Amino acid sequence: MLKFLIVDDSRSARAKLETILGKYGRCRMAEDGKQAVELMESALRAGHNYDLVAMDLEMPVLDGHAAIKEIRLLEDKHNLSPEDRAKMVVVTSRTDPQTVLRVHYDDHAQTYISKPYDSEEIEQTLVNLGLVEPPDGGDHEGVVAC
Amino acid sequence: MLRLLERYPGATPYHLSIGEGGIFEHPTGVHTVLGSCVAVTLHCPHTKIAAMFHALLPHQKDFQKPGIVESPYRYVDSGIDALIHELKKRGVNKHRLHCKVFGGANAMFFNQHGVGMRNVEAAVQTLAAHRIRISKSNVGGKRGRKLLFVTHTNEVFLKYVGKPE
Repeated sequence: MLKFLIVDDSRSARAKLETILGKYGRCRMAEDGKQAVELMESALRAGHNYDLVAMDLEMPVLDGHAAIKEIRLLEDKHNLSPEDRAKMVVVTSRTDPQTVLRVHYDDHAQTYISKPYDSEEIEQTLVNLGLVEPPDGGDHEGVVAC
Repeated sequence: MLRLLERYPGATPYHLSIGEGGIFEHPTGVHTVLGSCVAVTLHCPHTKIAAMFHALLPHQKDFQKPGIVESPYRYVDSGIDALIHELKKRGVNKHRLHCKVFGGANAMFFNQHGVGMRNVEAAVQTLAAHRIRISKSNVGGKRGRKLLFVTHTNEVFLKYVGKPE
Protein backbone atom coordinates (compact mmCIF):
# COMPACT_ATOMS: atom_id res chain seq x y z
CA MET A 1 0.00 0.00 0.00
CA LEU A 2 1.36 3.41 -0.96
CA LYS A 3 2.04 6.03 1.71
CA PHE A 4 1.36 9.68 1.01
CA LEU A 5 2.18 12.83 2.95
CA ILE A 6 -0.15 15.73 2.13
CA VAL A 7 1.15 19.14 3.17
CA ASP A 8 -1.13 22.16 2.85
CA ASP A 9 -2.40 24.82 5.24
CA SER A 10 -5.85 24.74 3.61
CA ARG A 11 -8.19 22.13 5.04
CA SER A 12 -10.16 21.90 1.77
CA ALA A 13 -6.97 21.48 -0.27
CA ARG A 14 -5.85 18.63 2.01
CA ALA A 15 -9.28 17.02 1.79
CA LYS A 16 -9.29 17.16 -2.01
CA LEU A 17 -5.88 15.49 -2.23
CA GLU A 18 -6.87 12.89 0.36
CA THR A 19 -9.96 11.98 -1.69
CA ILE A 20 -7.80 11.39 -4.76
CA LEU A 21 -4.73 9.78 -3.18
CA GLY A 22 -6.73 7.80 -0.62
CA LYS A 23 -7.85 5.48 -3.44
CA TYR A 24 -4.24 4.36 -3.84
CA GLY A 25 -2.92 4.24 -0.29
CA ARG A 26 -2.73 5.77 3.18
CA CYS A 27 -2.53 9.53 3.66
CA ARG A 28 -1.00 11.52 6.50
CA MET A 29 -1.67 15.25 6.76
CA ALA A 30 0.48 18.19 7.73
CA GLU A 31 -0.77 21.77 8.04
CA ASP A 32 2.61 23.39 7.47
CA GLY A 33 6.17 22.57 6.49
CA LYS A 34 7.35 22.06 10.06
CA GLN A 35 4.71 19.41 10.72
CA ALA A 36 5.69 17.73 7.45
CA VAL A 37 9.35 17.57 8.45
CA GLU A 38 8.38 16.14 11.85
CA LEU A 39 6.20 13.47 10.27
CA MET A 40 8.95 12.61 7.82
CA GLU A 41 11.50 12.38 10.60
CA SER A 42 9.37 10.02 12.65
CA ALA A 43 8.64 7.87 9.57
CA LEU A 44 12.33 7.56 8.73
CA ARG A 45 13.19 6.76 12.35
CA ALA A 46 10.59 3.99 12.20
CA GLY A 47 12.35 2.63 9.13
CA HIS A 48 9.98 3.60 6.36
CA ASN A 49 9.45 6.52 4.03
CA TYR A 50 6.54 8.09 2.21
CA ASP A 51 6.18 7.17 -1.44
CA LEU A 52 5.04 10.64 -2.38
CA VAL A 53 4.85 14.05 -0.74
CA ALA A 54 2.26 16.49 -2.12
CA MET A 55 3.64 19.85 -1.03
CA ASP A 56 2.04 23.28 -1.02
CA LEU A 57 4.45 26.23 -1.09
CA GLU A 58 2.89 29.12 0.79
CA MET A 59 2.33 27.99 4.37
CA PRO A 60 2.87 29.44 7.83
CA VAL A 61 5.75 28.42 10.13
CA LEU A 62 7.84 26.75 7.40
CA ASP A 63 7.12 27.19 3.69
CA GLY A 64 7.21 24.44 1.07
CA HIS A 65 10.65 25.25 -0.34
CA ALA A 66 12.25 25.11 3.13
CA ALA A 67 10.32 21.96 4.03
CA ILE A 68 11.50 20.16 0.88
CA LYS A 69 15.08 21.09 1.72
CA GLU A 70 14.70 19.73 5.26
CA ILE A 71 13.07 16.55 4.02
CA ARG A 72 15.87 15.92 1.53
CA LEU A 73 18.45 16.47 4.28
CA LEU A 74 16.65 13.91 6.44
CA GLU A 75 16.68 11.42 3.57
CA ASP A 76 20.42 12.05 3.09
CA LYS A 77 20.98 11.50 6.82
CA HIS A 78 19.26 8.14 6.55
CA ASN A 79 21.31 7.23 3.43
CA LEU A 80 18.25 6.57 1.30
CA SER A 81 18.93 5.45 -2.25
CA PRO A 82 17.33 7.44 -5.12
CA GLU A 83 14.69 4.72 -5.46
CA ASP A 84 13.75 4.98 -1.78
CA ARG A 85 13.39 8.76 -1.66
CA ALA A 86 9.91 10.21 -1.58
CA LYS A 87 8.65 11.55 -4.90
CA MET A 88 8.05 15.27 -4.49
CA VAL A 89 5.02 16.84 -6.17
CA VAL A 90 4.46 20.55 -5.61
CA VAL A 91 0.80 21.58 -5.75
CA THR A 92 0.54 25.35 -5.58
CA SER A 93 -1.37 28.43 -6.67
CA ARG A 94 1.94 30.18 -7.44
CA THR A 95 2.24 30.32 -11.20
CA ASP A 96 5.08 32.79 -11.84
CA PRO A 97 8.05 31.55 -13.92
CA GLN A 98 10.52 31.92 -11.04
CA THR A 99 8.47 29.58 -8.87
CA VAL A 100 8.18 26.93 -11.59
CA LEU A 101 11.94 27.00 -12.16
CA ARG A 102 12.75 27.00 -8.44
CA VAL A 103 10.46 24.03 -7.82
CA HIS A 104 12.28 21.93 -10.39
CA TYR A 105 15.87 23.17 -10.36
CA ASP A 106 16.40 24.19 -6.71
CA ASP A 107 13.90 21.98 -4.90
CA HIS A 108 14.32 19.13 -7.42
CA ALA A 109 10.63 18.31 -7.27
CA GLN A 110 9.64 15.84 -9.97
CA THR A 111 6.32 17.45 -10.80
CA TYR A 112 4.74 20.89 -10.51
CA ILE A 113 0.94 21.18 -10.58
CA SER A 114 -0.84 24.51 -10.40
CA LYS A 115 -4.12 25.01 -8.54
CA PRO A 116 -6.90 24.62 -9.46
CA TYR A 117 -6.29 21.18 -10.93
CA ASP A 118 -8.35 18.22 -12.12
CA SER A 119 -8.12 15.04 -10.06
CA GLU A 120 -7.02 13.22 -13.22
CA GLU A 121 -3.79 15.22 -13.18
CA ILE A 122 -2.88 13.81 -9.77
CA GLU A 123 -3.75 10.26 -10.83
CA GLN A 124 -1.77 10.70 -14.05
CA THR A 125 1.19 11.85 -11.95
CA LEU A 126 1.11 8.62 -9.92
CA VAL A 127 1.43 6.66 -13.17
CA ASN A 128 4.12 8.94 -14.56
CA LEU A 129 6.22 8.73 -11.40
CA GLY A 130 6.06 4.95 -11.47
CA LEU A 131 3.93 4.57 -8.32
CA VAL A 132 0.95 3.10 -10.13
CA GLU A 133 1.50 0.52 -12.86
CA PRO A 134 1.04 1.96 -16.36
CA PRO A 135 -1.69 0.16 -18.28
CA ASP A 136 0.67 -1.14 -20.97
CA GLY A 137 3.57 -2.16 -18.71
CA GLY A 138 5.92 -1.25 -21.58
CA ASP A 139 9.69 -0.90 -21.51
CA HIS A 140 12.21 1.60 -22.78
CA GLU A 141 14.31 -0.58 -25.03
CA GLY A 142 15.57 1.08 -28.16
CA VAL A 143 14.73 4.53 -26.92
CA VAL A 144 17.21 7.27 -27.79
CA ALA A 145 16.84 10.60 -26.03
CA CYS A 146 17.76 13.84 -27.76
CA MET B 1 4.04 2.87 -24.49
CA LEU B 2 2.05 3.19 -27.71
CA ARG B 3 -0.09 0.31 -26.52
CA LEU B 4 -1.73 2.87 -24.24
CA LEU B 5 -3.42 4.22 -27.35
CA GLU B 6 -5.56 1.07 -27.49
CA ARG B 7 -7.55 2.73 -24.72
CA TYR B 8 -8.47 5.53 -27.13
CA PRO B 9 -10.30 4.07 -30.14
CA GLY B 10 -9.92 6.28 -33.17
CA ALA B 11 -6.77 8.01 -31.97
CA THR B 12 -3.98 7.93 -34.53
CA PRO B 13 -0.35 7.58 -33.43
CA TYR B 14 2.06 10.26 -34.58
CA HIS B 15 5.79 10.50 -33.92
CA LEU B 16 6.96 14.05 -33.26
CA SER B 17 10.58 14.53 -34.29
CA ILE B 18 13.11 16.99 -32.91
CA GLY B 19 12.36 20.48 -34.17
CA GLU B 20 8.84 19.56 -35.16
CA GLY B 21 5.52 20.93 -33.98
CA GLY B 22 1.92 20.70 -35.01
CA ILE B 23 -1.75 21.34 -34.45
CA PHE B 24 -3.95 18.30 -33.82
CA GLU B 25 -7.64 18.75 -34.57
CA HIS B 26 -8.47 15.03 -34.49
CA PRO B 27 -7.71 12.50 -31.74
CA THR B 28 -4.00 11.74 -31.94
CA GLY B 29 -1.42 10.05 -29.75
CA VAL B 30 1.64 12.21 -30.23
CA HIS B 31 4.78 10.47 -29.01
CA THR B 32 8.34 11.64 -28.66
CA VAL B 33 11.46 11.22 -26.53
CA LEU B 34 13.11 14.10 -24.70
CA GLY B 35 16.53 14.60 -23.17
CA SER B 36 17.55 18.22 -22.75
CA CYS B 37 14.92 19.17 -25.34
CA VAL B 38 11.61 20.62 -24.22
CA ALA B 39 8.09 19.73 -25.29
CA VAL B 40 5.17 22.03 -24.65
CA THR B 41 1.61 20.76 -24.97
CA LEU B 42 -1.39 23.05 -25.41
CA HIS B 43 -4.99 21.89 -25.21
CA CYS B 44 -8.23 23.81 -25.62
CA PRO B 45 -10.93 22.10 -23.54
CA HIS B 46 -13.70 23.82 -25.53
CA THR B 47 -12.66 22.91 -29.08
CA LYS B 48 -10.53 19.84 -28.17
CA ILE B 49 -7.88 21.21 -30.52
CA ALA B 50 -4.38 20.58 -29.23
CA ALA B 51 -0.84 21.48 -30.14
CA MET B 52 2.65 20.31 -29.29
CA PHE B 53 6.25 20.92 -30.27
CA HIS B 54 9.64 19.36 -29.50
CA ALA B 55 12.33 22.05 -29.40
CA LEU B 56 16.07 21.65 -29.23
CA LEU B 57 17.28 25.09 -28.16
CA PRO B 58 15.89 27.98 -26.09
CA HIS B 59 15.86 31.24 -28.08
CA GLN B 60 15.69 31.55 -31.85
CA LYS B 61 17.61 34.84 -31.98
CA ASP B 62 20.65 33.28 -30.28
CA PHE B 63 21.11 30.49 -32.79
CA GLN B 64 19.44 31.27 -36.11
CA LYS B 65 21.85 32.02 -38.95
CA PRO B 66 21.05 34.82 -41.43
CA GLY B 67 19.54 33.66 -44.71
CA ILE B 68 18.69 30.18 -43.44
CA VAL B 69 15.02 29.39 -43.01
CA GLU B 70 14.42 26.97 -40.17
CA SER B 71 11.37 25.52 -38.52
CA PRO B 72 10.23 27.76 -35.64
CA TYR B 73 9.81 24.57 -33.63
CA ARG B 74 13.58 24.06 -33.32
CA TYR B 75 13.47 26.79 -30.66
CA VAL B 76 11.35 26.98 -27.54
CA ASP B 77 10.37 30.65 -27.77
CA SER B 78 9.51 30.69 -31.48
CA GLY B 79 7.82 27.29 -31.10
CA ILE B 80 5.40 28.68 -28.52
CA ASP B 81 4.76 31.79 -30.64
CA ALA B 82 4.14 29.67 -33.74
CA LEU B 83 1.73 27.27 -32.03
CA ILE B 84 -0.28 30.12 -30.52
CA HIS B 85 -0.43 31.82 -33.90
CA GLU B 86 -1.68 28.63 -35.56
CA LEU B 87 -4.25 28.05 -32.83
CA LYS B 88 -5.49 31.62 -33.14
CA LYS B 89 -6.04 31.07 -36.88
CA ARG B 90 -8.34 28.20 -35.88
CA GLY B 91 -10.29 30.38 -33.49
CA VAL B 92 -8.69 29.16 -30.27
CA ASN B 93 -8.38 31.77 -27.52
CA LYS B 94 -4.92 31.41 -25.96
CA HIS B 95 -6.23 32.27 -22.51
CA ARG B 96 -8.38 29.13 -22.54
CA LEU B 97 -5.43 26.86 -23.19
CA HIS B 98 -4.22 24.27 -20.73
CA CYS B 99 -0.46 24.07 -20.95
CA LYS B 100 2.09 21.47 -19.83
CA VAL B 101 5.88 21.51 -20.06
CA PHE B 102 8.19 18.48 -20.16
CA GLY B 103 11.88 17.67 -20.66
CA GLY B 104 14.87 19.87 -19.92
CA ALA B 105 17.10 17.18 -18.41
CA ASN B 106 20.62 18.28 -17.59
CA ALA B 107 22.56 15.07 -17.98
CA MET B 108 26.00 16.64 -18.03
CA PHE B 109 25.44 19.90 -16.23
CA PHE B 110 23.21 19.03 -13.32
CA ASN B 111 22.69 22.01 -11.01
CA GLN B 112 24.26 24.30 -13.57
CA HIS B 113 22.79 26.36 -16.32
CA GLY B 114 22.88 23.57 -18.89
CA VAL B 115 20.84 23.66 -22.06
CA GLY B 116 18.04 21.68 -20.44
CA MET B 117 17.40 24.31 -17.81
CA ARG B 118 17.78 27.12 -20.35
CA ASN B 119 15.17 25.43 -22.52
CA VAL B 120 12.77 25.27 -19.58
CA GLU B 121 13.52 28.88 -18.64
CA ALA B 122 12.69 29.93 -22.18
CA ALA B 123 9.42 28.00 -22.01
CA VAL B 124 8.18 29.43 -18.71
CA GLN B 125 9.21 32.96 -19.65
CA THR B 126 7.64 32.86 -23.11
CA LEU B 127 4.43 31.34 -21.75
CA ALA B 128 4.33 34.01 -19.01
CA ALA B 129 4.74 36.71 -21.67
CA HIS B 130 1.66 35.26 -23.39
CA ARG B 131 -0.08 35.12 -19.98
CA ILE B 132 -0.56 31.38 -20.30
CA ARG B 133 -0.56 29.50 -17.01
CA ILE B 134 1.37 26.23 -16.83
CA SER B 135 -1.01 23.68 -15.36
CA LYS B 136 1.63 20.99 -14.97
CA SER B 137 5.33 20.47 -15.52
CA ASN B 138 7.74 17.58 -15.21
CA VAL B 139 11.18 18.92 -16.08
CA GLY B 140 14.83 18.82 -15.08
CA GLY B 141 16.72 15.99 -13.46
CA LYS B 142 19.23 13.80 -15.26
CA ARG B 143 16.96 11.35 -17.04
CA GLY B 144 15.32 11.47 -20.41
CA ARG B 145 11.57 11.19 -20.81
CA LYS B 146 9.39 9.28 -23.21
CA LEU B 147 6.05 11.03 -23.75
CA LEU B 148 2.67 10.19 -25.17
CA PHE B 149 0.26 13.11 -25.52
CA VAL B 150 -3.36 12.12 -26.08
CA THR B 151 -4.52 15.27 -27.79
CA HIS B 152 -8.30 15.11 -27.31
CA THR B 153 -8.14 14.28 -23.57
CA ASN B 154 -5.05 16.36 -22.66
CA GLU B 155 -3.48 13.35 -20.93
CA VAL B 156 0.28 13.05 -21.08
CA PHE B 157 1.83 9.70 -20.21
CA LEU B 158 5.46 9.88 -19.24
CA LYS B 159 8.14 7.30 -18.67
CA TYR B 160 11.63 8.08 -17.52
CA VAL B 161 14.50 6.74 -19.59
CA GLY B 162 17.41 5.38 -17.58
CA LYS B 163 18.09 4.60 -13.95
CA PRO B 164 16.73 6.67 -11.03
CA GLU B 165 18.97 9.58 -10.05
